[in-house]
Amino acid sequence: MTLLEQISEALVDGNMKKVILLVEQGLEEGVSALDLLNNGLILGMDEIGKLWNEGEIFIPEVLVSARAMNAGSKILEKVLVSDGFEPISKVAIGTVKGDLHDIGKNLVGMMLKGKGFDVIDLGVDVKADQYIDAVKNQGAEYIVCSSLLTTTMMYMKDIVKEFESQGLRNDVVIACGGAPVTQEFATEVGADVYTDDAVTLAQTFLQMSQ
Amino acid sequence: MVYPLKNPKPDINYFLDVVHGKIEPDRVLLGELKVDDELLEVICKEVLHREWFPRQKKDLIKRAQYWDNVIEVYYRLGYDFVRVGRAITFPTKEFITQELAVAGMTQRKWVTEGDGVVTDKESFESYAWPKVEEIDTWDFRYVDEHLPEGMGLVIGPAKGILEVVTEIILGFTGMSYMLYDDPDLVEEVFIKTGDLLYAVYEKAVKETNCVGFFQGDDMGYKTGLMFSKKFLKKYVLSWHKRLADLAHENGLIYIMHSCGNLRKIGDEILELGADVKHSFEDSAWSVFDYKLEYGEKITLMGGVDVDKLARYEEKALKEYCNKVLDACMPGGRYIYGSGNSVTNYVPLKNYLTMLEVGLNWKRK
Repeated sequence: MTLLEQISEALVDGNMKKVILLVEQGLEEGVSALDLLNNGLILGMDEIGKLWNEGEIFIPEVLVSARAMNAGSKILEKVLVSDGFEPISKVAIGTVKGDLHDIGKNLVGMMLKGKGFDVIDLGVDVKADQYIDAVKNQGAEYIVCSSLLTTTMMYMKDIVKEFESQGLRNDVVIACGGAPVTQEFATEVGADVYTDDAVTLAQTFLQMSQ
Repeated sequence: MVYPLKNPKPDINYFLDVVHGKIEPDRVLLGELKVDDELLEVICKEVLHREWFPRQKKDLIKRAQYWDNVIEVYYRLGYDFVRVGRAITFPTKEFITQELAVAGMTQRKWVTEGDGVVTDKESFESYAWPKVEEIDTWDFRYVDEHLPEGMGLVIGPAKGILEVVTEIILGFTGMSYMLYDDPDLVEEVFIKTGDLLYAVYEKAVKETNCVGFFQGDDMGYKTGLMFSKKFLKKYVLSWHKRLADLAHENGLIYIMHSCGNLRKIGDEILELGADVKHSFEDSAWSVFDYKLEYGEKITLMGGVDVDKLARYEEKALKEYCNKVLDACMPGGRYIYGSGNSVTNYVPLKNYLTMLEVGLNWKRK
């Protein structure tokens, strides 16, 4: 098994310590950071996404693998920046104003990272101007609005309107998701993308970026 | 206005016969996990024209006044039982946001989804675990003694074991990591929590004439289970089975509330001995589908999707509620109500519309 395969396997197993050791070993042996990211970490996270989508693993396993992914990415971050690495695109994710649920949003972030996107996590209780700022000043081309409540999902309409009123609507792809959100609702508020789950959303963004 | 009902005729024995599948009812029976206090207050003031007394713990007179109102609301809206909860409190971290939707409410409190209050063995030992002698069954006893004739008491003293562990003690992310880093400690936390919840039910059974347990424990999300079946069977469903056994040993029913798409443990819910399955969301696992798959094996409660209950206009809501009843009433073993609970953002008009559809529904 190659080093890159070992990294992917350790990530799928959720073994953070092993991922850290292998990524460090790879850098010492002269493997490029981009190779370690794309063919080690991202490949592992992609496998996690597939297993989760197929119902083979569940949220705890995804979270543990994501912890390993984050630990490995952190080591590679500085090298990637100095190498001039460009992610596929930037995505700003958040749970909308009035809502503090963050697991669904975090899972979306993990799946996007697993596809090679740079994820700006705006956190929870996110207002429209924070999304606007991420697009205007941080280069986000996609935004993801998450909500778990019927009451808070209504705020997604305000976010879309705010982009329209600032003349930025055509500069960004807006996705909506969360337990009460449906395709019907997403269309009604003027969002561009709705999917039932995090894995499909990441795949959809990837297709849109190509 | 149909409500308040002038001459309600609750009959908890009839209700229990329907739950057990002995009778196919000639009227629509009602059931809710809860109606939020903000809505109870509006009903009290605007429908019953009674003074409202907020729920509180210390002053027993005011505490009794609160429950008098709750009993009257359920009685005058046509229910056969009152569910009483909160007998045990697990200390937690809470966060607050601005409330966006509910008149009169400015803040909404949240529990953590990340880390909980127990992160290792040391914090497990030092955590202020509730003590069995601190279990407060006063509300159960008061309601039990003050129910109108024909009504029954149903108890649900706390969140479910999974919810207590993932929302309060370990946090969802914290528990996920701990399952990998220290699975023995996860097991200890579940045992400690389960023992405490079981003790509450044991105490309540001894002290009241309750007719059933109504225990919530969310295990799914929109498209599937949050945890593997193996995990749920070991840490969660085994405790629900113990509670269901305790209920049945005492001649009571076990109502199981759990949200999300639980298709993968549909059979396990039957096997643990639940008499009633509650909580249905159209976008996860609808009451329509559940009725087709399990309607002859277990009684269903609820099914009116909360999103629709909160947002639909009157005409659409009536059509939808009739559709739920047309699908679920044939064959019996159905108790009508909201898919989850009547939340504080459900307009009173919509709640009463849902009830009125039930009152007027006739077999075709």
